[in-house]
Amino acid sequence: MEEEALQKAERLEREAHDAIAEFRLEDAVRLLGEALAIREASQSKGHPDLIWTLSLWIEALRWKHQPESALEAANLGERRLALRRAALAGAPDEVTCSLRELMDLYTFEDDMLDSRRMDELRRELAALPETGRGEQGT
Amino acid sequence: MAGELLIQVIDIGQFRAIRPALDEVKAGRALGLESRTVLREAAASPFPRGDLNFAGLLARILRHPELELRVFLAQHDLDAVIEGVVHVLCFENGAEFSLTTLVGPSWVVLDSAFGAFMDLDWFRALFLNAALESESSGLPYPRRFDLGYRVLRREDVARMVVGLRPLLDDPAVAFHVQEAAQGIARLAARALSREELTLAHTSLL
Repeated sequence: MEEEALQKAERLEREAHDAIAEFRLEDAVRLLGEALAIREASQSKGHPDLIWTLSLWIEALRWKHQPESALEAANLGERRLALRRAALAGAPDEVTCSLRELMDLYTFEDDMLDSRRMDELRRELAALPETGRGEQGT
Repeated sequence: MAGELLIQVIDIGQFRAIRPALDEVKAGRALGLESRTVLREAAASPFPRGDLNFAGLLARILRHPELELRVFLAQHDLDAVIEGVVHVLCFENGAEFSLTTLVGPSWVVLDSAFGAFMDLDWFRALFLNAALESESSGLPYPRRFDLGYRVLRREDVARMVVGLRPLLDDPAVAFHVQEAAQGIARLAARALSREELTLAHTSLL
């Protein structure tokens, strides 16, 4: 039963990926909402497989290019960061990249969507040891 | 302006060879040894240095072979890796082209000359009709939204060489059209010089 649910979630994610590629962003968001609900129910809310679903969802929202959808993407980015902190515990340089990605999500055009949160992220980034700062690749 | 078409030489043999690695990157799971070898080869080529995003993504992937790509990369990162790998390993000069120098050593951009070429039956047949009629001419990677590359069969490249000849010698043909025709003829000759090469084209609009 769980295997069936996971297969369905993967199918929905593939369909969402195609929908993003065809710029059917509302369809993509709907599909990803469904996929996330399935994964939460069958795998738990803290499972690392949720990261990909969230990443696709964030991508769809970013392409909408609206302040509201950007903020929604940043909120999903917070959840993704929490999951990545656990999944990437052995790769601190990648946690650093994730922090930078979240800062990007809080930036819409030239505006900061949440300056207080941006300051927190900046401070966390600055406090990381040099070896954990990694290479900025995105 | 009718549009902009970019024409380049592609090593389709190399593309077929690295296709499994591209499939693995697209899947976003942990990469196998052979796929990592392909990415290492791309990282070692001189072209990623000019694209810091691509070079950085390759370094991150190769630094963490134990991780699934989808855990630390997003879809657009995977797309950028696929595009970069195809460009540096399958195209000459890392798929470099310019919109200011329309005819270069390894590319031709049909811009203002595009309309003149669209008047030619053979050009429409090879670059427009064939693309509409056959899905098989489309490269599966890289793709950005609906845009992607299409490749010509080698027999179509040979047909194109014949079609270009009148343009090369006719003094009535406008200079920019003749220059483009000469550039395409040069790319075609290069493509026909080795079995694994052919021409690829993509819209820049």
